Amino acid sequence: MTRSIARETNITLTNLEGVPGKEIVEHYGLVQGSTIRAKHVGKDILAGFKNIVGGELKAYTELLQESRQEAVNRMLMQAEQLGANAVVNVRFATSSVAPGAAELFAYGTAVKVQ
Amino acid sequence: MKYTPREIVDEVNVTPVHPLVNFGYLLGTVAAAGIALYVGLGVAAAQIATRIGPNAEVRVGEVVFEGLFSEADVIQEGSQVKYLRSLAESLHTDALAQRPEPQIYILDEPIPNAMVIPGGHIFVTTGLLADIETENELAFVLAHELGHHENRDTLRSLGRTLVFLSLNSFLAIGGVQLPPMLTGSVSLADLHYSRDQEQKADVYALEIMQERYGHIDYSLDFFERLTEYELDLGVANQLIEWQSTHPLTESRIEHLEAIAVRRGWALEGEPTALPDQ
Amino acid sequence: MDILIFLTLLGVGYFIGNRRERKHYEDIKRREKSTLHIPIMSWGAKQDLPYAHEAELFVGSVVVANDYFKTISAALRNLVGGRVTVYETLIDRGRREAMLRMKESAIEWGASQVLNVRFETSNIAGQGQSGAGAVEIMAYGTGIR
Repeated sequence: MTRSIARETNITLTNLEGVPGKEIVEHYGLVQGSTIRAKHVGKDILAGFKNIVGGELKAYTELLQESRQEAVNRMLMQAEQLGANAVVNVRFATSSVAPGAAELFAYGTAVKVQ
Repeated sequence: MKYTPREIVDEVNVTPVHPLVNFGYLLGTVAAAGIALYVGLGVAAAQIATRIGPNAEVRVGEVVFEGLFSEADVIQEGSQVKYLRSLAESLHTDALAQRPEPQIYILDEPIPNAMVIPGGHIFVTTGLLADIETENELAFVLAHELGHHENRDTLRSLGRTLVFLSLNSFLAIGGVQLPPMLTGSVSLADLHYSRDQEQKADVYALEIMQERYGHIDYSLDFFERLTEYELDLGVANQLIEWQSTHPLTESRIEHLEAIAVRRGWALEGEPTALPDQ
Repeated sequence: MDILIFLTLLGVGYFIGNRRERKHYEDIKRREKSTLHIPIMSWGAKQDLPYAHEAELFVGSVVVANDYFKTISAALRNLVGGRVTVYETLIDRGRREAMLRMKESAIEWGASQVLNVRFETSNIAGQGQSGAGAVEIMAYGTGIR
């Protein structure tokens, strides 16, 4: 993974209330990114077997990591549209919305810092 | 800091795909995979069935026998059984010599029925024996069951059932929820396979009838009597056939008579009476 | 017989469900535009708020469920894997609706901002785990005036 979990971008992501060393001059409100993914049946069956021996479910770890990346990217897309150069107070939420599908949600406040 | 209200116009959180296109793609993928899996498993089951040697089959047959008929009223001796056995022997084909020796039993059961299990154990119920009127009918029934045995249909069904049950167990372990239509369509496809087997056994038996008696008359009488009992529901008949393991009696008879005509078998002849019991 | 019922439900789900979803989205966009003037932020816990005299917690929540067509699509997607696009619209709608409800009740009270907004999503199972359940989404934050 690169220095941040998002793609190469000029937007700073923090989960602090502001960006250290900079001042917030303008803010644009909440931005959110979410994605819902399912893993296919083959990996499901293998995970079922893992339930017997225990240990890390690599397939699901990968799935959720990819999803988180995508959720953050979508949030960044919204921030770009608003003309922000930082998103502060970023929070994540994972939830299961249906058997086999997990929702990854990222949200924060889009701001302009100087 | 000041607040600058701006609208977010792009729906970034929704993938712009038409729901019908999405559905079509998913259905296509699942259907293709399902068909491939089904055909593959069917072939695998048949391969397993034909690889099992006669000794193993006899052992499997014993296990099934114990499991199904240990509690039932099985008649293994007596003049009726002797007659059945000699009749069955006269129907043997050359190919049958390579299969485990067929054994005939009578089942004390009022419902007319006949069946065969792995290992070549053939059962005929007392209900069937009471119902039949000529030797031709009885010979046809026995030949039909011998046909299943020669073609290893019993082993094929066993193999397929085992393979499908294993697949179900894997899915259950994986916690996978199949859409309701999937399991239904697999059963329908399986029933088609079973009906295919039944028709093949029918033709096999009819061929033996032609050879032994010189005609196929009276052989199908048993089924013709059955049609008088079965309700004629018109179009609904097709729906019922679609969901059963055997072809409908009427279409069974028609199909066989058509084949007989095509192969130039005699449709008329003298019946052979049953010996006095 | 089963197939007929299945196809009918599928058709009803698709046509009516689609229409209702579009209507809902239009409604959401209209309300978002009209409430754009009040900012909502996910910060606020550690800031000085000298211009705030009163504060109050506001919660907006909604429970949404998918139509039959989408449920079957999702079940198929579960076998194939990848992005479950049919749920994306559901969750997006639900979240924006919950946020609007929170915002609207805050505006009615007279809030000038809504701070420290958080979300909670949970799956509400139907009876028989066939995935035909519902999702509850709630948004809560502190409105200040």
